[in-house]
Amino acid sequence: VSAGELTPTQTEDLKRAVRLAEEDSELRFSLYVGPAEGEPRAHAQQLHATLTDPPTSVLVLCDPEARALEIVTGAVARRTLEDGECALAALSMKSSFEGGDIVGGLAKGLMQLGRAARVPRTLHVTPSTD
Amino acid sequence: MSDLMSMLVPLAGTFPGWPAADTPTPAEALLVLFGIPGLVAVVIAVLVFAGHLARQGRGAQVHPKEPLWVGGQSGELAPARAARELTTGTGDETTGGASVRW
Repeated sequence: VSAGELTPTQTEDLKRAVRLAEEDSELRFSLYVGPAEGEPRAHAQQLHATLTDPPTSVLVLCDPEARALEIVTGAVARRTLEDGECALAALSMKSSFEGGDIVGGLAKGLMQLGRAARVPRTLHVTPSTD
Repeated sequence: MSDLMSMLVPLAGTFPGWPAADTPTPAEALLVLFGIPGLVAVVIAVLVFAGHLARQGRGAQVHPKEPLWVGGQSGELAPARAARELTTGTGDETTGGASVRW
């Protein structure tokens, strides 16, 4: 998204959604909103590969002009955030996009992805190996 | 006159025993018939439009020309990785995720 086309509130909403998703899931989330070069899926995978830690990263690419949304999960992230959960979040975002709410849909979808990948806290005590 | 019949009689005048009421002027009649409903309609329209503007401020359609990154790097490929990515065409084959179009 062109920085000039987003209000500060919208930008903050997206940053907050990314932060919440990361806090929930312990995965690294990245959001790219803008034109995809060529085929969106291939471009999303290329961008995902440029991230600091691709295996534990989740990239959400949204191209409003091409009306394309791509979610790419790394090899490690995929274990906790399965493709079916990504598809559900993508459908949720799609319904918001169709209503014209790009930013709201992205924010809700990111938080949904974070919740889906939430790592439950274990209360078990590891027995000592002495 | 029964109660039912009294409701059907047009209010052409004041009932017997009631205090005399002044006949409204045409301006007062227009105010009551059109002015007040119009004012109410304007207030409702303003309220609806204000809500629409508020929603639009939060969820306006976005038509980006420059990409926005949140939580990631600029998207520029590192030289060594760029060569691999550009030759393979797609990224890591073990990636998952989902795609939708709308």
